[in-house]
Amino acid sequence: MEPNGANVTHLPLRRDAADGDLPLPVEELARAVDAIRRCLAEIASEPRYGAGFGRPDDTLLLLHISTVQQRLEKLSEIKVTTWPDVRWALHFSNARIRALTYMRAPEVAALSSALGGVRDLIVTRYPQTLQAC
Amino acid sequence: MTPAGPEPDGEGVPPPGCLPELREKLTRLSDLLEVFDTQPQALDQQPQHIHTEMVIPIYISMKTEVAQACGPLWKDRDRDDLWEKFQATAEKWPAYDAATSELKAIRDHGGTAVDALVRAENPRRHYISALDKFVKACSRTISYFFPT
Repeated sequence: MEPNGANVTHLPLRRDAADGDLPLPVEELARAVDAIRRCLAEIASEPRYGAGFGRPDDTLLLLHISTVQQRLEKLSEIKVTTWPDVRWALHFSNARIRALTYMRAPEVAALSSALGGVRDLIVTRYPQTLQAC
Repeated sequence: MTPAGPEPDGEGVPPPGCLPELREKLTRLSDLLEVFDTQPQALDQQPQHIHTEMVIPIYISMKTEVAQACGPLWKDRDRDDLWEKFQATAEKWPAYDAATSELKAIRDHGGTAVDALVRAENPRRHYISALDKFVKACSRTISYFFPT
């Protein structure tokens, strides 16, 4: 037999991942979306954040960031090895890590962009997370 | 050229217990490789998951349960070819692992990773290329001996 030959079929690629067996409740995603929404709203409400954050009077924003950080840490279970939609899991994991990285640097524009990217990935793929907020 | 063997009928080789999980991992990797084809840097953030939790377990399953199930029907030449493809992947891994570790360290310290990104390009390309060949060889073997 010649399994490495050309006259064989390839494994079918899965294109549509089922949403019914997610490794974590979709409510966890919704909570992250909600936390990001609140954080971005706080950033938008204070022009002074544009110069960076970390000052003593930035407590409210730092609290929001801390909440988002906790939510995103919980979403570390979204992995390419187990999540039903592997492509989405890849992009989401990268966006999540990027956002967590920017939380360590007081650069509001980059953080806003990274958080917006995470939020968009979630609500586009799982629109039910918007209703759950 | 070795003449082609008999058409697989799905009954000649008893499917090993690992087959469903093996198919799942191979399908996941095939999907990921399609992404890496246009966005290779998408692999940089989580290569450990892919190499240690997918690639190595696939190799172990192929080397043990699949090899045992296929027995002599799986020619030595074809087996060796598959092992060599895994070996190529494994050999490319350390350089790529080091490059992504450097990237992570720079980003964790808030630094600019432009130079490290450039240094990661070749190790990443070599690893993805070897991985693609390994996954395709595994998929062909599984499809041949255990047609759906």
